[in-house]
Amino acid sequence: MRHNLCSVACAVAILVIGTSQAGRGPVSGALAAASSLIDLRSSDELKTQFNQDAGKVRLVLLVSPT
Amino acid sequence: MCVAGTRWVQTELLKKYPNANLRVYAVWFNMMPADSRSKWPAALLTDSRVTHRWDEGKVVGRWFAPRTAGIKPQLASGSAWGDGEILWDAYLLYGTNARWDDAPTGVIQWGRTIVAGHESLKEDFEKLFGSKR
Repeated sequence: MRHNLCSVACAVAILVIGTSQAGRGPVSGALAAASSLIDLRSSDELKTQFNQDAGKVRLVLLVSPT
Repeated sequence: MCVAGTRWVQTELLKKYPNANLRVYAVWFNMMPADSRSKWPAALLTDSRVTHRWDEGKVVGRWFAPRTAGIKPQLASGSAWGDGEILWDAYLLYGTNARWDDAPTGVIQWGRTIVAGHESLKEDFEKLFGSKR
């Protein structure tokens, strides 16, 4: 009996947490995402991406990792 | 220095303008003796509008360096750039109408170092996205 009550309580807790998270929906604006580093072979690759993003402000950063 | 500049971009620009219609291309390459691909600071620029590229041959820095002569008037106040072969620790900001054929048009401003030009960059973000905070 005690075990069953515990199981029910856990299920309810999971349901409540899940519902509250789902209700939030996506936060407006940019979300932090796992970054990935993609190899660049030529400036043409950057050029292609640059032109694909026409209509947006674009910021190019030329940086070293340390 | 680059790390300080990119951290500033994340915290003072991207985080403060989460709804700005913006794309950032972070092109990373070796310039200092301790630099390497494995040292890439993945946790530094985490905004989803940023694309990270590793440029082992420094081709982008080499490509931009000689072309800075044509955009000298747009060099940010506080910035300085001589005639180096590789442009680095630098930023270039382009407007919505910018197009890259032979070279990118529509540069709003550029600067080196990022830290040196940060006040100008901040002012332009305010002009461009002041209502998007």
